[in-house]
This record gives sequence, structure tokens and C-alpha cells, in this order.
Amino acid sequence: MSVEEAYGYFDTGVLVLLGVLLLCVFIRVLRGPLLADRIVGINSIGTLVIVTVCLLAEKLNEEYLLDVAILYALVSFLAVVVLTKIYSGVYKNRIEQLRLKREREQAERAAAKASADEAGLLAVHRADIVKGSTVTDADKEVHNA
Amino acid sequence: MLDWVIFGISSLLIVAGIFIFITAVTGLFRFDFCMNRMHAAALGDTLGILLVLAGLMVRFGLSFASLKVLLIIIFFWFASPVSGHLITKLWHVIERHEAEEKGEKSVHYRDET
Repeated sequence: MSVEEAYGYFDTGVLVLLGVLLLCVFIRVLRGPLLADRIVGINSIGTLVIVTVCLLAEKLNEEYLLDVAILYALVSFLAVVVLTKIYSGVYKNRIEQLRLKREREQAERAAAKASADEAGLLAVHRADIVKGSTVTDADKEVHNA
Repeated sequence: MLDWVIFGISSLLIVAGIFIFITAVTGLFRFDFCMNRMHAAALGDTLGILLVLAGLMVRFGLSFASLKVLLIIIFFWFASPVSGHLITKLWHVIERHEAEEKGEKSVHYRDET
């Protein structure tokens, strides 16, 4: 066995392994319950792609593929930074809206309770007035005139 | 003879790097919390890419391509931990949102700087 054959078999095996790993991480991207799981998966896929491109650059004897790998590393890092910033803002916005809605509901409930209490008090007060009143009909005519 | 020595060294490094990648991807699947998964993925990827690209540098020999590969390694070692920390911050915000939806107090509060 010559060195070239050894290199050939070795490269094939490593590239197949990397492909299998890529598929496994992709399953995590699809399955992950949270958004952060998916971003972690995308980061991992980017790293594996960088490694694959560098290995292919050696196997195919093309040097410019290494420049492609550098650029892909930059772009994937930038993508993760932008995604996390945007989604942090979105989720914080949702938290604010939920909190405002909850406060408004609590205020409404407190106001309804207060008015119900007041109505109850007024009813009791009116009953007292009607029951214990000493004003006669003659006095009422004088007052109205 | 020298060809076989170069093949041996580079193969060892690349196999070690691939083993660490496999460990990292296994960690992605086996942990229960998102924070642990992020930890496994980011750290495993960083070390794995160092070993694999070091093996590749041995194969390229002393040339301009080796310098480019070294540049990839250096940039990646600066960028990957930053990505990991940003993802963790996002995870805290998401956990706060889920606790707010259910209406309970969450432990994920911290002074934001």
C-alpha cells in the first residue's frame, strides 16, 4: 500500500464521519424545544462545515477553498450574534406586554371589586335611611316648596 | 519514509479531533438543559477544530496554506466562546418569558449590564 492509497482511504473515512455528524446535529436543530437549542445547532453545523471545507481543500489540492473557510467562519459568527440580539429584543418585548396585560387585569378586577363594595354599602345606607327616618310627609312638602 | 511519518502524525491528530467532535455531538443529545448542551457544543467544537486543523497543517507542510489554516484557528478561538455566551444570555431571557407566561416568579433575574 502506498502513501497515496492510505491518504485516500483515510480521507474518505473522515469525510463520511463528518457527514454523519452533520446529520445528527441537524436532528437537534429540528427537535430542540427552545430557540436557543436551534441556534446552538446552527453554530455547530457551521463549525463542521469549516472542517469539511478545509479537508476538501487538502484532498482536491485547491488552495482557494481555505479562503472560503475563513469567510464562512466570519459569516457564521456574525449570524449567531445578530440572531441572539434580535431574539433577545423580541422576547423582552413579549415579557413587557404580558406584564402590562396582567397589571391591567388586576387593576380592572380591583376596580370592579371596589365598585361592588360601594354598591353594597350604599344599599345598606339607604335601608337605614328608610327605616330610621323621622321626617314626616308634612315636613317633606315644606322642604319641596 | 518521511511520507509515512507525516501521514502518521497528521492522522493521529485528525482522529483525536474527530473523536472530540463525536463527544460534543453526543453531549448535544444527552443533556437535559439547554445551557449544558450549549456548553458541550461550543467547547467541544473549539478543541476539535484545533486538533483537526493542526493535523491539516502538518499535511500542508511549511507553506502559505498553513498560515491560512492558523488564521482560521486563531479567529475561531476568539469567536466561539463569544457565541456561546450570547446564546446563554438569550436562554435566560427565554426562561424568564416562559415563567412570566405561567405567572410564577423565575430565578433567571440578574442586573443587566
